[in-house]
Amino acid sequence: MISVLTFYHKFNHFLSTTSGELLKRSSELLFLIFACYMVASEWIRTRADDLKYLLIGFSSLAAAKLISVFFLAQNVFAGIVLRPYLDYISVADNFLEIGALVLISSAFLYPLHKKYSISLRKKTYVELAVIAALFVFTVLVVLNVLPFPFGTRRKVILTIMSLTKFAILWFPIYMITKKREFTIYNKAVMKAFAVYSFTPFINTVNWIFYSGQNQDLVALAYPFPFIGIILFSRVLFLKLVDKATLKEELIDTKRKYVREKEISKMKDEFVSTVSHELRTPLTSIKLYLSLFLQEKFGKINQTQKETLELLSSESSRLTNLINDILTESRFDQKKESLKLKQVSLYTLTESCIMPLTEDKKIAIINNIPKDLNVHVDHDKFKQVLINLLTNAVKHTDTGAITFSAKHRSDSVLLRISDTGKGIASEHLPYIFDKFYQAEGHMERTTGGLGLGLSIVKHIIDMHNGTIHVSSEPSKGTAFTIVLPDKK
Amino acid sequence: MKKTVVIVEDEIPIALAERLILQDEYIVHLAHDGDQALTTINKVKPDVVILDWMMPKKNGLEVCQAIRANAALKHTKVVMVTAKNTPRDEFIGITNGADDYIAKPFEPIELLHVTKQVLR
Repeated sequence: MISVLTFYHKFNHFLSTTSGELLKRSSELLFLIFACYMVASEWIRTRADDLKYLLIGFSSLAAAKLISVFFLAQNVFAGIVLRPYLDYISVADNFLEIGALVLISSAFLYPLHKKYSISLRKKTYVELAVIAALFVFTVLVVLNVLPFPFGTRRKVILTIMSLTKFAILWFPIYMITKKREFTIYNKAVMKAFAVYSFTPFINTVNWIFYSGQNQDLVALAYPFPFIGIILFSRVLFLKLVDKATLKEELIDTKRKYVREKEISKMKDEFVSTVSHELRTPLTSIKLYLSLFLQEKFGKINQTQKETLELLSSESSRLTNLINDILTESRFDQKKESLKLKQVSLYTLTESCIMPLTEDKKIAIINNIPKDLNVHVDHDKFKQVLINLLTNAVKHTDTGAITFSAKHRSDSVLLRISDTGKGIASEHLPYIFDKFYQAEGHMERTTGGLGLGLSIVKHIIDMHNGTIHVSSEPSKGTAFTIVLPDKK
Repeated sequence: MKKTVVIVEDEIPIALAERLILQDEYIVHLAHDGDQALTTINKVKPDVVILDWMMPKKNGLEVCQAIRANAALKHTKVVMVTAKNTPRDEFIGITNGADDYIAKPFEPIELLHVTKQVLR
């Protein structure tokens, strides 16, 4: 019975023979063919760019092994001496391997490149161009076109090749470390490339210091490409079967989703609490103001009456602001639904026209045809008209606010125009945004939260309609609503 | 004969204001939480209960259900008062037995009007 150590030594010795090399290369070839098959079947399905690179990469690696296997088999089974072909074999073998490693590293780094939007194609082309130049140089040296003393020729070429391989293998590791993207998938990539790089490293040392003659180092380098290829298969497994990247993304997305839901729930609770807490004192204030005005607490004089009316109107304003916030928050929760019915646009508009304060010298003109009906949610559409009218009144000091409407083949067109101070063109794209105020907060003269038009837009959207605004500073503003007419 | 109203409201200022509004036309009793409300209601058997929704101990919905479950109170009308932003149809559905509702903040005239309305 042989001991484990003796077995190891004997096996290592066997591996250093041509037969051993053949066994090693054949097993690597089998793995690579399997990998090619996996990538090819996935590529046919998805036609993804990174899989294409990977397929070419693994095929070249397999081709390199195939060439070695072919010549080694010639030697082992047919007794053909390899010496005269050795230079050509190792050049072809090495270059196919280098090209393959470039493509594989690009393909494996694909998720990283995509994230940082680095052009994969450009990088690969540049690398392949450098290798092509190296290839031409090497061929010229091998073919004796460039003068190099015979003895050092192999040494120079193989040292450069080993170094190139080493550099290519460490590039992905450098990239991943630099971007600090230590995901399961990237860690597997780093491991595979690091292990694979041991062989070129040992070979470089061997060529530089021992002219490639140190047999211990040759033996030491044997297992690494094999382990490296197994680790590549693992990366491939993660990429194609386990979808490690996708899994991580999914976990991340799930976490975000749960958090979003929590925040939205907190917001709902907050809005509901605030609404209750604000409305309760407001109820008392409004009730007592009304009771004062009704002289329940004794007679009041004209000045007192006017002051109380002012307070009353201010508390109404506060109520409207709270209601606006709540309406907006209900839209956010998508709780609102429409109760559509035929509504006379003229009558609805009449019901919205409110008495104006005395210091405004403006007229409100309702030019809507009396027989024009629209198919809308009565209460919500009334809110639209009230919000638009309130805005128009707020911003108009003289002139008129005009409502007009007409019927078109499959829609109803409603126009509300005023002769107010208008909206500067730079504000126009944003006026339907939540909390947007055309005037900055410091120069505000009109008050309001900036929710009115956002609510209008939302309600019109719910009706599948559109709203447009046109405005000329100091001449006026016109809102045009187009509602689909279902008959 | 004057009809009887029980106002159930935990906010004292609102309760007092409501009494001021209703006391000219109705006999008014006050209760400040759900438990007290049920005791008072069972004792005076009012024609109308003005019932706040959000209250300590028993909330308005529970009180409303207790009234509806009591056969002796089948002629008692219930008006719910709420600070929540719920549309009317939805609200009456939730309360399962309220006759009408008022949303806070409201005007004195609204309270008078709704009370008169449910008693008709």
